[in-house]
Amino acid sequence: MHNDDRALFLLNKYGDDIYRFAFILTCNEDRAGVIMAEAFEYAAGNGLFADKDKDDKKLLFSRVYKNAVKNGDPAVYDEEKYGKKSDTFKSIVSLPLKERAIRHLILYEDMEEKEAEKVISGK
Amino acid sequence: MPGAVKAETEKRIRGAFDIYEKKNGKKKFAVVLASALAFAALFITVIIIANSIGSKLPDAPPETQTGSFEETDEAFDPPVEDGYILFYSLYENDLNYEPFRVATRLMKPCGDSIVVADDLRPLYGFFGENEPSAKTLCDTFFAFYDRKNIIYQKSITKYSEQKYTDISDGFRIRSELPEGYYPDELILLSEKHGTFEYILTASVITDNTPGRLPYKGVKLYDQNLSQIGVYRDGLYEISVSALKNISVCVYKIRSEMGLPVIYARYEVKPDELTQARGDDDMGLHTAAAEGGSVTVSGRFSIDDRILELKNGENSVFMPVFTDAGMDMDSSVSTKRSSLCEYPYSFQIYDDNGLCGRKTVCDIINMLDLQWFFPMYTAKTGEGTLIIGDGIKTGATVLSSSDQASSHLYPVIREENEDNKYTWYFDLSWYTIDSYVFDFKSLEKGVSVAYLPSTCDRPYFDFSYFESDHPSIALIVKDGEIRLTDSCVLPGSLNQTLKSYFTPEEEFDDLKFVTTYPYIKDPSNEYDPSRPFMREYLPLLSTDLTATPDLFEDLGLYIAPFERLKSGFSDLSVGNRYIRVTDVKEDGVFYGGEKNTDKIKWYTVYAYEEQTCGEQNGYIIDASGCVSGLRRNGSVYLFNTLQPCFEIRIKAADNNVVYAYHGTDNYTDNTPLHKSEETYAGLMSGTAALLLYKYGVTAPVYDIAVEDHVSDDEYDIGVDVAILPQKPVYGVKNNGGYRYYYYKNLTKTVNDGRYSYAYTDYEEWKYLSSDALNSYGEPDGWWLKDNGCERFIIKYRSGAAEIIYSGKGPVIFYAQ
Repeated sequence: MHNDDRALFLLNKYGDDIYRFAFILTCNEDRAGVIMAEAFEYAAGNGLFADKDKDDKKLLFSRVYKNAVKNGDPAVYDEEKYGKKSDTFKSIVSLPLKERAIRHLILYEDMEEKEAEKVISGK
Repeated sequence: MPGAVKAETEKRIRGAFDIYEKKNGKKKFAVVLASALAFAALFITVIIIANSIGSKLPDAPPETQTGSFEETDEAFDPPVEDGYILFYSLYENDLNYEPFRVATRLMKPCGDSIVVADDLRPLYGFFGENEPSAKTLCDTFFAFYDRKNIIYQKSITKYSEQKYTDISDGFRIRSELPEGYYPDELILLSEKHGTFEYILTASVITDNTPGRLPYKGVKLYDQNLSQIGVYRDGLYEISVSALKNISVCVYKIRSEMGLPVIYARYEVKPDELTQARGDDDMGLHTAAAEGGSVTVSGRFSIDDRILELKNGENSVFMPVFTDAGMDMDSSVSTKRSSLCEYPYSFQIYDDNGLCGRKTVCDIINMLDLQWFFPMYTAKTGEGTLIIGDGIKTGATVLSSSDQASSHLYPVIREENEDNKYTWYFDLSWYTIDSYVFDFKSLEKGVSVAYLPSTCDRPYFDFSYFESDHPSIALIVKDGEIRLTDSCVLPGSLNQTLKSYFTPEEEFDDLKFVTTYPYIKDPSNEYDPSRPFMREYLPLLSTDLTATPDLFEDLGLYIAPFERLKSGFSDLSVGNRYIRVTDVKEDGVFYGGEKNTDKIKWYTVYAYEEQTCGEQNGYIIDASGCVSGLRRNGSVYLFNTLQPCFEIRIKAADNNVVYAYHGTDNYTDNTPLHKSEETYAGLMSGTAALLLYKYGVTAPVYDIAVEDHVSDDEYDIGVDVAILPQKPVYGVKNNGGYRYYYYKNLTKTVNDGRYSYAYTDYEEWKYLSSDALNSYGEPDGWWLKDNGCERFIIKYRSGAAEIIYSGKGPVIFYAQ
């Protein structure tokens, strides 16, 4: 399977989840889009999706997190711009970046804590 | 994710791959691609034919020999002019979809029937240790089939020679497969639509063992056992022309109690396919085929995928197919208390009554609803009348001019300017701990709680009752369903069912069935079969807990509710005619007085009458449920009725009234005679306490009597106000009949005198508007009585209380 076809397939399959993760880490639509696109670009460009032993979704989470770290501190969530969110969401975005990422993966991706920590560490 | 983000990411991916290719020096493999995504990249026009016969398959060719199914690299080369498509099968590793895959492998809809395989054991595991029958399995997995029709494959003798079974639209499935061949249902595309998911599947035969993930070289066959494809490199390859010979269909499913329930199945038949032309202009075209009562045309492209169902001139737009994962996550929130905040739900179908699972399913499909609650049903000369509430999703905004009778989409809410609203349903972000969906409306929001893994219906909080919404009225006859005039339940009646009813003389043959709200048990013992009982109201959270409780404080307990089974008596009240049930002598108090055998209590039923400007309307009982109809001045009540209040009395010789007035418990051994003297005696100070319990709304009731004191002064009509959620204590006093409630009393136990503390505001707001003055305050006066201060409510039409004689209730009317 070609890497870009695989990447496009994964974009459609996981794109919403990856974007949601990116948004949680940035609280900004534009920045979320950038770190997500860069994650896909990196993985596609380095043939990472061709590795059948890797979990592609976790790989993308990992890259997105790395990009978020490089991106700097997340913005404050703009309720007026993006709408009212649940208390759970608000509690997550009040956390520092690393805890925020772990918490999101636990709550929304059903990972165990150790698994989530491994993902964001890129292991 | 926003479209711009997706587009940018795609661009980067392509750019990155170019670089990757240059690095690695690989060439693009020239093939017509159609992944589950790329189905979206192609333009496809498909036809969905429902309930009609499509083109017949050719005669069955000789059976193909079974081959080995070791992993091979065997090429599958269709004719060059044919081409082939590649796709992933979705949810292959997803256990949430395993029940669906197994069910659709082993059970095939055939019109209103289900064709079941001989061996249904693979489905048993989803039911724990029980071995469900084929009927149980069909009932569980299919909402749209006629509960009587199950076809067992091996029992279809007329097809046995041909070895095929016809299912819908002329498509055949093999009744028996040679050894080494197995049916499979490949999931090509999926899309959510509220709580439903539409899944595009292909029915094939494979040499891969069921339940085993596909591996290189697994072959695919059509029902004639001609090879149509192969699995390799993580993809299925199927020849384009093979699509004509396999069943491709759309299932509409929803997870209920953790299992997929299939609400509809639409056959998809591509008729003509052309080959793709290139990367930028990939197209797979099919010509439209005609026929069938419903035609569907669809277009798929990366950016613009619409599946349009056409029924005559009306269109229903099914959601866009993407490779979106369905959130059928079965993890149950540990915060069960959040669902407890949504205690209300309704019966969703009644297979033993007039509105069974199939009918409700048909209504949901017809009107593109998420749920439909049949509130009441009635058999009439025109068919079965069903009136219920529908809940809808989607961004479609219905205009205020849309009326139920002329469109597929009834007005669920109406716009505010004309006393109308609209409803929206937004699933964009919901919390993991409660799966609460918010209905966004222009005015009031309604929250819905629904967990796919543990619920088979949505649950509401009280906002559901506070939001006025019209009901949907339908007529079902001979399997056909049609809408009739919409109507609105109490609160803002603005339409009525008009000429629907048959002439009056046919009413005696009518049967009415009501449904009542279900209470979700906060003790987490979910029992959807348990009907609504007023006794459960104290179990409700927050505002709906009726405290304090007079009976409990007096050491008395509510006797178990018993439904009246039958019995009407016709009563005339002035120029009104009301039919009420007989008073039923129920039984014994639990607790309380030691001489419990001397205590009897009576249950009286009363009804609110809603008029709609004319003589027709609904009768609503204390639970807020439709319990009868009023037509042309006559009232017709249903035979499953809820008591609206109960009055505890003590009878020594059946002629004694034991009256509670809240502060004193005493026994009046004076026989109650229906005479002016006694009446006057009662009026002069004897307290007969009228107790109201647990209304949900604040209706005003008309109560009729069997007989009444024939004193002109008192022979007057009466309205009784039932105050919701709070007990109301009525006392007769000099000067007429009034009832009232206590204000600012505190509970004392020193001398056994009980009273209750209420805040002013809490009490006022539950009064019906009849009792409020122009300032919104209760209209009346304070009366000091026995050391307590009581507020006498002055109602527009007076008040009433019920005093029991030995022969039954005596109700006094006040003008």
